[in-house]
Amino acid sequence: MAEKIIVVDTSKCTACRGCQTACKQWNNLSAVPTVNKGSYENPPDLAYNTYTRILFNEVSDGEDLRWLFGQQRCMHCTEAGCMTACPVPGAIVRDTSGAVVINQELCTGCKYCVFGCPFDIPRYDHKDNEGMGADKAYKCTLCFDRQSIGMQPACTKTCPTEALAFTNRSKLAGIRAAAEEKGMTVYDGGALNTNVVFLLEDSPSQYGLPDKPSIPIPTFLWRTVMKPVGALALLGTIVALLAHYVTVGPKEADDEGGDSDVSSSY
Amino acid sequence: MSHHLIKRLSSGERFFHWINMVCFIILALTGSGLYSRPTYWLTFIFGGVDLTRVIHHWVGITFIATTFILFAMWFKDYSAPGEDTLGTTIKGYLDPDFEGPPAGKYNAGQKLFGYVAFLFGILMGVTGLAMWFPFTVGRGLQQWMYFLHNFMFVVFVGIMMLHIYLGTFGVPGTWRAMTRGTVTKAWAKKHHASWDGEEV
Repeated sequence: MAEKIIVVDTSKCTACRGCQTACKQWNNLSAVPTVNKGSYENPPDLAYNTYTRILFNEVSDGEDLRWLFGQQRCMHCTEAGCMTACPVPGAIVRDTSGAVVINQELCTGCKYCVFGCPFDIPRYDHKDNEGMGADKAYKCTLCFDRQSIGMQPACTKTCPTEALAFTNRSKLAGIRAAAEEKGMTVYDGGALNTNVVFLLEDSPSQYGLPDKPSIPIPTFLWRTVMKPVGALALLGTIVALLAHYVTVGPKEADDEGGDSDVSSSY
Repeated sequence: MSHHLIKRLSSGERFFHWINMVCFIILALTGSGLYSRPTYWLTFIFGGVDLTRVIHHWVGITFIATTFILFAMWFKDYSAPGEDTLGTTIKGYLDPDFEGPPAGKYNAGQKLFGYVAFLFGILMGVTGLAMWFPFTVGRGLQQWMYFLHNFMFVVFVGIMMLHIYLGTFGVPGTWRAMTRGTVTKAWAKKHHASWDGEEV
C-alpha cells in the first residue's frame, strides 16, 4: 500500500484550474481547442492529453444554485480495473509510490483498460499525438517520476488553497474524522482502496462518481473468472476425450469386405 | 476406382471446410495471444502483437464467410429428417455394443453441431466486430461483449475438440472424407446405415 496519498478537499477548491495547467505543463501535454458551452468547465472531457480537469457541477435545490467543484482524475486504485483488464505483460504497472502507470512503450492499444476502469478514466489516442506512437492509452501517472526524486505531484504542488493535499496515508484516519464531523462524505473507493481520497460536500453522484465503485462485473468475469475456468474447462475436455479413447475406444466400422487397409488409415 | 468406396464430400465442400478449419486454428491461437498476459507469447509466433491483431481481424472475416458458405451447402442435410435422436447418437459413442436407429448422411449429433457452429460463428463475429470497433455500442454493452467473446471462445473450442476427435481418432475412417472425399462402404453401413451414398 502506498505511503503517500492525495486528499482532495472539495470544500477548499476555488476552481482556479491551476492543477489542470500544472499537469499539462509537467507532462508536456498539448492544449485542447474547445468552444464555449455555457460553463467555465473546460475542456469538456478527459483526453489523451488531459489527465485531470475541474468539474463545475451546478446543483439546484429549490431557489439556491450551488457550485460543487470536483476533480476528475485517475484514482490509482489498489484493486485496479485497468490492470486487471490489461493483456500485455508490463504495459500497466504499479510504481513503488502506489501509482498505477501505463507504459506507452509496451501498450498495444487494445483499449481493454479503457472499458475496465470503474471511473472511466483512461483515454485512447488513435493518432500519434503525444509522440509515443499511434494506438496508445493515456491517463494520470500520479507524477511517479516526480515522486521518485522526492517531489510531490504537479497538481498538489501548485494548488494554492491546499484543496489538493499530498499527505501520508497514516493521517487519513484523522482527516476522515475531521471531515465527517463537518458533515462531508469521505470517498476512498471502498474495496478498490484508492490512493486518491475525496472529501465531498454532497453525495458522490453529484460529482460524477459512482456511489459504490467496483471493477465492472463483466470485466471481473472476463479477466478474473474466465482465465482459470476456461483453461480448466479446455484441459478437462482433452482429458475426457483421451479417457474415451482408452476406455470405450473408437467406434470402428465392421471389418468386412476386405477394406481393412483403407478404414484403418483414417 | 475402388468398388468399395462411397463419395461423401465434394471437392467444393472440402475446399471451404479446409479454409474454415485453418482459420479456426489461427483464430484460436492469435485470440489466445491477444487475450492475456500468460498467453502473450503466442503473438510472437505471428510476428508481433500488431500483426497478430490484423491477422485475427481478417482471418475472422474469412472464417465467418466460409461458415456461411458451409451452412448454405449443408443446411439441406442438417434439416433432413432422421430416425435417430441426440440421445441414441451419444449412446452410440459411449456404448460400443449399442445398436441405435440408423442415421442418415448426418446423425443427430452432427446436425446439432452444424447449427451450433453456425450460431457461434455469427455470435463470435458480432462480439468480435464490437471489439474491433469498441466505441460504437456504448460502455456497458462493450464490457459484456468482451466477456461473451471470451466465454463463447471456451465453449466453441471445447465443442471443436470433440468435433476433431470424432473426425479422426474417435471414428476411424472419417478423416478420409476430409482428405479424399470418400469413405468405405463398411464405414457408411456402420455409422450412416440409412444414407444411400453414391459409389465412386
